[in-house]
Amino acid sequence: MTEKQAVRDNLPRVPDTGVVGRGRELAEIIKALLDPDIPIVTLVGLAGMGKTALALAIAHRLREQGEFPGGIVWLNASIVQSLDEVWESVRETLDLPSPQAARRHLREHPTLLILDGLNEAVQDMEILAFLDRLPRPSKVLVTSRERVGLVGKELIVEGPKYKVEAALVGAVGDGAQVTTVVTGDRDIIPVTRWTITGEHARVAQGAAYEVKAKNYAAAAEAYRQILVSFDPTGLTDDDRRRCAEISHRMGTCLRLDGQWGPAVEQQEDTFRQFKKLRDFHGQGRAYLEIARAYQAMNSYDLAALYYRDAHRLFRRAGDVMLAATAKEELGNLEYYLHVLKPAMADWEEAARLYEQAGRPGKVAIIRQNLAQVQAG
Amino acid sequence: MPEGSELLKFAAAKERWGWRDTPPFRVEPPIEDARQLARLFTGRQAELGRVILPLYNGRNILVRGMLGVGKSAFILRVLHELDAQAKAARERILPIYIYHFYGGTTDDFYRLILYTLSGILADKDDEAKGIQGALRGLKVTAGRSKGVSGKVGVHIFQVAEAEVGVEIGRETGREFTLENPHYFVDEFLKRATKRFGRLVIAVDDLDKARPESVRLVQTMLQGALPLLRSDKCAFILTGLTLPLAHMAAFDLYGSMLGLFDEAIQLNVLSPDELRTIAVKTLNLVRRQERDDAYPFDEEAIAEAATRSHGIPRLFNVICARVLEQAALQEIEVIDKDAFATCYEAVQIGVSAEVTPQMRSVLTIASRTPGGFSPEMPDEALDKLGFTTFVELMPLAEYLVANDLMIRQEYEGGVRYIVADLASRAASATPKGAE
Repeated sequence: MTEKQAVRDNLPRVPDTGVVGRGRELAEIIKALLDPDIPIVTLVGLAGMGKTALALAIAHRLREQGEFPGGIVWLNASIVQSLDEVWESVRETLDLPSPQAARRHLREHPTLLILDGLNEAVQDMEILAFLDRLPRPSKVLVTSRERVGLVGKELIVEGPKYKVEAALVGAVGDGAQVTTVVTGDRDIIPVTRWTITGEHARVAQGAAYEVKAKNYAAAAEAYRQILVSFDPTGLTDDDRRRCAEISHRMGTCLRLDGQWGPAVEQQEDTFRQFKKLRDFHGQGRAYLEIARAYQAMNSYDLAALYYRDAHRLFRRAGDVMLAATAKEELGNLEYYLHVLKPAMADWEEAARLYEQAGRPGKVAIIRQNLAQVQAG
Repeated sequence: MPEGSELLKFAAAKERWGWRDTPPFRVEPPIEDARQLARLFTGRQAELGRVILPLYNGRNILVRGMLGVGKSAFILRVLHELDAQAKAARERILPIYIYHFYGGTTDDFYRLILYTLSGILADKDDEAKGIQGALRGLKVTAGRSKGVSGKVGVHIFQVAEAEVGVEIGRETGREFTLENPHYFVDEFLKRATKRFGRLVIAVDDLDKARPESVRLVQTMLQGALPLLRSDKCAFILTGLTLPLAHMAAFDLYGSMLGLFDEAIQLNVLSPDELRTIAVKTLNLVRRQERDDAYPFDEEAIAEAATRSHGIPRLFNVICARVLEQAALQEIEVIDKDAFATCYEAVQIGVSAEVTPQMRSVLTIASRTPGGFSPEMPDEALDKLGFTTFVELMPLAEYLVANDLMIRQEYEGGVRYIVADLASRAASATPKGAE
């Protein structure tokens, strides 16, 4: 009786530029979502790989095909703080009278929940348990920057824009050009090239493998070893840059290992090194990391200050993408603290910057957050 | 003005204005004079009412607010009030006030508390006496205030230097190696509560609002959680903190695992309250009390309140200096015009004291719309040699501590503007500096 009625959803409306050349991946993901034996599909990929855009494209396609007649509910994991909020979103999107009715609905009508941006910041066990126990006919599509270990199928999303190698991959030998990316980190600088040699290269490779295995403490220690092996007298500018880059990675590993205080100190040092090099981008990366560490320490006031300065530095460095990231994370923090006016202003700015950076998926998500807040 | 005439002129002014002595318009509250503090203390009645019972019942309070807004005066007042109320109700409470402890490691904090406890126990407890000796390196001086009734038991501890890395109790041959003071703190807390009843420990000025020291304080307090959670004693702490506007409950301290049961935000005082402070301060030295701010007339005292941005510390600075000027200029009543003349002279004096470096910082601040803020333009930061607002903050805080700038909280967080008192110092040409 409801067959002709439109499927209820709260999907962000995206300009149709989000996904290019993803036919194979789209098909694979949709197949997994329609497979009755797979309750959860998780898209894992580094920041900027287009996970959100992909998820959106899938959602719109499934909606058009009339799959999931129970509805499609889009949840932005970075601002959903509790299971209650999940239920409230479901209830509101599907226009149901109560959370109890929402539970019944999920049991009785195939519904698709999309949890976008599930990452280390969201460690609400309640939410994870809820996903694992979702009633059968309904499904969950999760996007995440790292493996979250949910049941079901996990698909790795690789970047269409540039090839990103997972952590110091490739031949690392004397004088090799090394591409490093710290996986699991939230702000991946697309590609950073720097040359390291000999013993440094060997240790750096070790560090990178530790990062890949999520042994962040061991990785930090390896980076520390490289740093102390530099003779502080007679450093060339290149050496200084290497030290700053390694210091930044070490600080990031410390944060990912939960050593927030030492992470802040390391990044303060990184900041000073980049400042000597007059490198705004490096300074901004250090500040973004400090902001995240302070946020993890619940020092929200300090985190906010550092996010603002990180935005300033990225703006000066001309990195629109990271400037947008800093603003977005600041907005998320303010939203979390219920200071809505600044949160909205910062999201507006983030959306504008993402637009400039050619990230329509991001823009759509933020606009939807804004619309939700405006709606009350 | 002939040299050496200043004292005579001031003596004449005192006579003219009916003063026995110089009125104590001070930047710090009278820590060791409970009676004077009680007489000067103004406003904050609602806040006082909110903290007495929680402290009595062993809960912790955080008092926050900007520099000079009256945090120290407030917690001192709280301690004295607790003491007085406890006596009236025949309850046993021992209020303890610790200041000049600028943070350190968790162990330092325990040592500080241990020193304090052993200090109050030492007269009848040999072990406590021994610990006192072992902790001498902390450079703590302890005193007992004279108090309202002559026997108020507020113990005052001043920690001159307790820096990270001070090694206490490591001397060889001593019975106590106090590398781990936790055990003794627990034990002495038991003894102290048995002897004195409930303990209320105030620690004043834990941070200096620099991001680094805030972090140290946080680490320190988190480590001291078992002590702070102890039901044997209540803590009341003050900190400057950097709040997101209206987010007191979520700031650094408030978010710390429910460490504090109440966070009291002290805001700036109203012009009326500042006027009352002036009247009370003047009455302390008047031969005959009055209910106005003479020699200030009403317009002048209102002007002083405006110029102080509602901050009692600045208000006191302005009153003290304008009175000095009025004495030198042999003014009888400080009306609006006289105030303007004297105040200008004070501003010139402030300007003359400012170093060229500070002057250029103030100048940049005054020319930057909105002052120093997270949104300030890059060019202003560049001129100061910084790339970020965070880097600039310690310098701005230094200027705040010197009454040259004001820290304001607003929706975007925190910003610094040039204090009215320093507005002349912020003008590019160092007028009056000659």
